[in-house]
Amino acid sequence: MQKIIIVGNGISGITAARYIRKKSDAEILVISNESEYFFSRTALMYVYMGHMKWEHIEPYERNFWSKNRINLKKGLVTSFDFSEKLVFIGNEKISYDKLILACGSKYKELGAPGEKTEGIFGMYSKEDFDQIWNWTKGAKWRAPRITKATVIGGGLIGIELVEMLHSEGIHVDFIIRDGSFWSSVLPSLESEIVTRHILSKGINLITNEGISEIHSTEGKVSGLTLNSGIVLNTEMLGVTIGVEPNISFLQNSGLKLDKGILVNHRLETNQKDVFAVGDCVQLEAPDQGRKAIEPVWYTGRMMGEVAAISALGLDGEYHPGVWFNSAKFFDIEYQVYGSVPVKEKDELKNIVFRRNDDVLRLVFENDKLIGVQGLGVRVKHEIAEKYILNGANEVELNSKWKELLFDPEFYALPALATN
Amino acid sequence: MNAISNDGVWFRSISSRGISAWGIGVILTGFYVALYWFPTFLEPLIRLFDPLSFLLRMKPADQWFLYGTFYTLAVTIFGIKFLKKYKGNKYHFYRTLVLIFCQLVLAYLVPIWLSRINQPEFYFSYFWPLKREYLFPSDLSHLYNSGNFGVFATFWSVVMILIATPILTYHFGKRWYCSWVCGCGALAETAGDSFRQLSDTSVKAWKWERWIIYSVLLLIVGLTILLWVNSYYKGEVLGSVSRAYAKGYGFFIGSLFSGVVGTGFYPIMGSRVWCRFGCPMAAILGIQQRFFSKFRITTNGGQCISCGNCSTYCEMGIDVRAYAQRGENIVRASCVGCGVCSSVCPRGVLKLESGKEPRIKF
Ligand SMILES: Cc1cc2nc3c(=O)[nH]c(=O)nc-3n(C[C@H](O)[C@H](O)[C@H](O)COP(=O)(O)OP(=O)(O)OC[C@H]3O[C@@H](n4cnc5c(N)ncnc54)[C@H](O)[C@@H]3O)c2cc1C
Ligand code: SF4
Repeated sequence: MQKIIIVGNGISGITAARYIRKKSDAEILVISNESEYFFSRTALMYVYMGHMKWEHIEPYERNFWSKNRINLKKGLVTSFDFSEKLVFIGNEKISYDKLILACGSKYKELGAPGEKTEGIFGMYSKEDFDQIWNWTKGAKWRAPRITKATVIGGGLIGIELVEMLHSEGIHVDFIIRDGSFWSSVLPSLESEIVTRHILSKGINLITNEGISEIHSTEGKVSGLTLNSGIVLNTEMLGVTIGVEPNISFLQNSGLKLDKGILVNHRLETNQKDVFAVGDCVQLEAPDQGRKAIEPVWYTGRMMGEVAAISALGLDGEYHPGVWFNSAKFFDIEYQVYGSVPVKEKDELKNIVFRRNDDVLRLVFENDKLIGVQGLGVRVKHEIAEKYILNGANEVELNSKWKELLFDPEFYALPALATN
Repeated sequence: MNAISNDGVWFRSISSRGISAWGIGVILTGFYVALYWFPTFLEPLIRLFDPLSFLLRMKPADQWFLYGTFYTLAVTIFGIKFLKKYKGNKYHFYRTLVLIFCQLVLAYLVPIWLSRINQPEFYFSYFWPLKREYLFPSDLSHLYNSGNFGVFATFWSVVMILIATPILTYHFGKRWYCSWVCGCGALAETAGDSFRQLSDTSVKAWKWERWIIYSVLLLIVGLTILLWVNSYYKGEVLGSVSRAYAKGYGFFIGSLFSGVVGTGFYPIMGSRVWCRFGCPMAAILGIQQRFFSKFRITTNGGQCISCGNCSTYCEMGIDVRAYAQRGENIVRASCVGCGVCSSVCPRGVLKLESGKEPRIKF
C-alpha cells in the first residue's frame, strides 16, 4: 500500500487527504505543527468575538479522522530528503511514497525600525491569534487589557482584525495606504460606501499613510511615527499588509522556488512524487485571468482535490475556472465573480443596480459580461459563472439579471442606477 | 443588507451555560413542575392575575390562565427583541410578526373570547398530533355536538390536518407551521433565541433525535388508532388500556417532555429540544419535507469558507456546514426553516427557497 504524507493540515492539505481517502486505500499521514485538528482559519475572528468557541470552527468531528483512517501527527517538518523520500521532524524521519506540501502562508512584516518590540502581531496562525487574545483580553468580556490599538494594512485580514478589536471595546486607529478602503480592488462607489461604514463604527481610519517608525517603552510598543510625521500613541500594532508563501524552510531543499513553490497544472513540483497545494504554491503558467499566487480558501480547496488525483496518478488538472471571492466588511457582505477592474477603460461598461447602500455591478468588456460584484447583494455563483463563461451581452442580461440574485426571500430588488 | 451581531454570545454567562443559565433553567423547570403537578405553589402568583382574568374572562385566574398569559407575554416581548436584533432582514420581520399574531390572537385572545361567549375553547393554530385531542373521538364528537361553531371547528381541524397541512408543506416546507404559526415554535424563536447555539450538532445527537421523535410519533398514532377502535366498540374491549395509555402519554410526553424538558432546559440544551426530539407534528411534517416538498436550503456554489456560524446557530442542531462546504443543498427532515443560518452566514452562502420541483415527482 502506498504511503502519502501531507505537510500542513489547513484547507488544502485536508482536502487532499479527504479526496485521497475517497478515491483510494492509501495510507495517509498529515503532519502539521499549528494545531492537532484542522480548523477554519477564516473563522478565527468569530472565536475572538465570542460568536463561536474553538470547537465550532473545527469543521469535522474529532472522530472523523480515525473513522476515515487519516492519521494526524503534530510536529514541525524541518527538512526533506527527496531522493530517499524522507521527511524529517527534527531527528525523526518518516518515509513516503508521495508527498504533498500544503504549508500555507505567513504574514508579511513591515520592515520598519523597531518592529521587534512586544505588542506587535500579525494575524495568520493560531499562535498569532492566541497572542492577540492574551495581549488584549481582560478577565471579562469588553474589559480589555488595552484601550487603544493600531492596525496597518487595509486588506481583507486587516478589516477583520479591526472588527475584532473594536468588538472588544478597544479604540482602533486603522492605517491604510490608499485614499479610501481597498480602493485598489473596489470601484470608487463601493470603496466609499465601505469607507463610510467603517467610519460609522467609530474606527479612526487614517488614509494615505504608512509607518516610518515604531516607538517602544520598556520593550513594549507605545507609539508610531507615520510617514507624514504625525505621531500616534498605541498599545498594540496589528500588521496586516498581506501574506506570502511560507517557504523559508524549503530554501536549499532542492525544490524549485520563486515567490512560492513552483508547480504545473498537475500541481507537481520539480521533485519526483512531490506535489504542492494552497497558499504556498506559485503556478508556473496560471490560466487566463488568474494569478500565479492566489492565497484564498477556495483555491486551496480546489487544489487539494487536484493534488489528490494527481498523487494517485489519476487524470485531472488544476483549472479553477472563473475567479470568485467573498468577504465581509463589518456588516457589509461582498461577493465577486470574474473581473471587476477599478480603472475605467473605453471598452468597459459598468451597469450598476442599487438598493440604498447595496450595490450590484455588472461589468461588460466589448459587450461581453466579464464580472459581477455584489456589495450587500448576494449573487448566485452558478449563474454568474455561466453568464461570464458565455460572455453574455447587455441585451441578454437586461431580461435575465434577476437570475443573478441570491438575496433572502422578501428582499426588494435593487434598481438600475442611472449613473 | 443589515447584519446581526452575535458578539459575546459565548462570553456571556446566560448564553453559554454559565451560572445564570443554570439558574434560569432551574427556575423554569421548577415552574413547569409546579404548574403541572403542584399548582398550589403558584397560588400567590395566580391571584395577582385575577384582575386581568376578570377583565378578559369574567372569572378568577387559574394556573392555565397564568401560564397562557406568561407564554403570550414572553412571545410578544422577546419577539420584539428578536425583531430588533434581526432588524433589516425582511424574512425575519414578516415571520416574527406572524408568530406573535398567532400566539397573541389565535392562541390566547380568541380562545378566551370563545369561552367567554360559552363556546368551546378552540385553538385555531394547533393541530393533531401536537394537539392530540383534536383527532380523538371523544373530543371531536364533543366539539361537533356543541353547536354551529363546534361543527365549524371540527371541520377546521380535520381539513387543516388532512388537506391544508400536506399542501402547505409541499409548497413551503414545514416552516409554514414550525416557525411561522406554532406556539411552541414561537416561544423557541423568541424567548429561546438566546439559546439556539446550545443545540447539540453532533452526529450522535442526530441519531438520538431520529429514534426519539419517531417513537413519539408511533406512540401518538397508536394511541389515536386505539381510541378510535375503542370508541367503535363502545369501550368494551380496550377501555381501561386506552385510558391508561392516554394518561401515560399525557404525563410523559405532554407534560414532562414538551413542558418541563422542552422549555425548562432551554438555557442548557437549546431552544428546540421538544421540536427536535419530541414533537410528533414536526415528525410528520419532517417526513413530508424530506421526501415530498419543494422546500430546501440552497448553497451558493463554492463560496462557503467552512466557518461554522450556520451550524452553531442552527437551533435544530443540523450541521449545516457539512452540506454547505461540499456545495450541497440542505434537505433535512428536522429543518424548521427559521432562516437564521442564512442570516448569520458571513459569505451569503445559504438561501431558503421553494424550488421549482419537489424532490420526488408524482
Ligand atoms: C484571518 C484570516 C481570514 C481569512 N479569511 C478568508 C476568507 O474569508 N476567504 C478566503 O478565501 N480566504 C481567507 N483567508 C485565507 C485562507 O485562510 C487561506 O488561503 C487558507 O487557509 C490557506 O490554506 P492552506 O491549507 O493553503 O494553508 P494554511 O491554512 O496556512 O495551512 C498550512 C498549515 O501547515 C502548517 N505548516 C507549515 N509549515 C509546516 C512545517 N514545516 N511542518 C509542519 N506543519 C507546517 C502550518 O502551521 C499550517 O497549519 C483568511 C486568512 C486569515 C489569516
Ligand atoms: S456560515 Fe456560511 S460560510 Fe460559514 S460554514 Fe456556514 S455556509 Fe459556510
